[in-house]
Amino acid sequence: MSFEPRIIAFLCNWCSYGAADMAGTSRVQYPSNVRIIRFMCSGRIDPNFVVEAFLRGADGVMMTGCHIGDCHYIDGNYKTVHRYEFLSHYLDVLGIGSERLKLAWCSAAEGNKFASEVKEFTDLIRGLGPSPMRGDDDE
Amino acid sequence: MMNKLYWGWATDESMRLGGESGGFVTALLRSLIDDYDDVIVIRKVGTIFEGSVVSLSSADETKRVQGALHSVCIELSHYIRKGRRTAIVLKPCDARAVIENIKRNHVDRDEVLLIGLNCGGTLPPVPAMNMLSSQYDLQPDDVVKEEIDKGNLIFTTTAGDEVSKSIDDLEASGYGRRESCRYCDVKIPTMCDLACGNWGTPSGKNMTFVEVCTTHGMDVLTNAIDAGAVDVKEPSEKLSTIRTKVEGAMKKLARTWDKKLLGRMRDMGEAERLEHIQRTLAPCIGCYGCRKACPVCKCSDDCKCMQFAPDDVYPISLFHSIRLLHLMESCIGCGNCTDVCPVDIPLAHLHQLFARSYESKTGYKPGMSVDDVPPLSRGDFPEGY
Repeated sequence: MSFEPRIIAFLCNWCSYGAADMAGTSRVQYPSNVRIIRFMCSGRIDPNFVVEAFLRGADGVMMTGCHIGDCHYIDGNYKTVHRYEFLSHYLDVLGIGSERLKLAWCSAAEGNKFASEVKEFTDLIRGLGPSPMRGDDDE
Repeated sequence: MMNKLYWGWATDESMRLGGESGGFVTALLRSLIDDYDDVIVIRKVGTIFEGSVVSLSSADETKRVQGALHSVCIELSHYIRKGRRTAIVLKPCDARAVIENIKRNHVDRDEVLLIGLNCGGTLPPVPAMNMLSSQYDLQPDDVVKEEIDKGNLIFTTTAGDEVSKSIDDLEASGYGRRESCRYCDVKIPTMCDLACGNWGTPSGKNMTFVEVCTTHGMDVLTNAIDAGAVDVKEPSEKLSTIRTKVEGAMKKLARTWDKKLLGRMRDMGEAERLEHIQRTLAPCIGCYGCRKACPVCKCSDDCKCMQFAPDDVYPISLFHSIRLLHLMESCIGCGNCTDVCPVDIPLAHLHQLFARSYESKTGYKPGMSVDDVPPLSRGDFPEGY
């Protein structure tokens, strides 16, 4: 059976979830590999959640939120950036590889952008193969 | 403030000759004991390999305090209680732990007086006693003092003889300092109020080299001088340079050990390193001793690292994954986790692997100053995003 990446996407309520919604209502196709989890703000994405996602067998994790300057809570996504950099380094040292973590900004109007980011990331992970943390037998 | 350097000693003659390095710290503690609720030190109990933490309550008790015990590696930062004025004598890693706890609001900087002691490394007590009998042909009761000087580990016997062996040779044969101490690069605790040690003191003169690092430290020292407890003078330039050189030599040795003990993990490819970490952590029996012993791990039991269900089976346990993540920006490398591990997992090496690479990336070194904000907590405008 060919490898299908399992991707967890953390979306903020105000922009990127809106973008995903926009992609849906405008019938833009994007891979079904992505599992969406909604947060009120991308600044709520605790690094622990990302680590747990990898432990539970995610092949890739996306952190998405509003563009810098557009955060509904003014500076929530500044924290997202710092956490993303922190996590990237952690994943590199641990040996999972920071390329399995993606940070993307999508405003509520950018349904197409959200779809293309998901597609791009899914292709990248498909090329990388299963995460080394993923068990052999689970789905 | 430029740090002021002094040679200090106890004015009391018996204290000066009886105490280690001129009895400066003992005399200082004696002079300030009434101003503090807790005065915390490690006191020798029996041999130099056994000690316990005590809070001194009277000036008379200070007489029984003597010497930096390098073979008693108790983590001291746990003993500071918020709301009590505390003076504490500690080694650099303890001091760094206190600084990290100040950042986490577990300790109030204004309430504590940190008296740091220079540290060239601590010895694990039980292996050190074995080393003493197998390498030095001595018994723990026979020795009264241990000292690291010019690359040698020197024991002074009750008869007054000095027996010295090269640290490199000892460590090559599996004895010597704790592994975390070998690659530790903080030898003079300048994050304290006062940093005391015997590097750069004239030999045979019974003096302590004191570096005054804060204005609070300066006040305490001035008060002690005014009270007639201690006396100081300016050190000679030559010996100050020697102190810097001793520190430099120690740091150079630390870099060599860093390469030896952590370099292999750094050179691995990603897949190999993940497998290595997985295999290193595999024997874990889940006692959580490392978490309890960790001086900077001060989350409650609600911490993510404890939030696992019994049927969660991951390649690396959630407990260790989260601890590696959390300590990446706060591990001070004290080595307590390795010490307490019942299955001898070299946890400190793993945490330091993460912490040191993060340090080289961001320039943030935990525990060095209360004013250093960890990159994750800065929340400033991100450039380039």
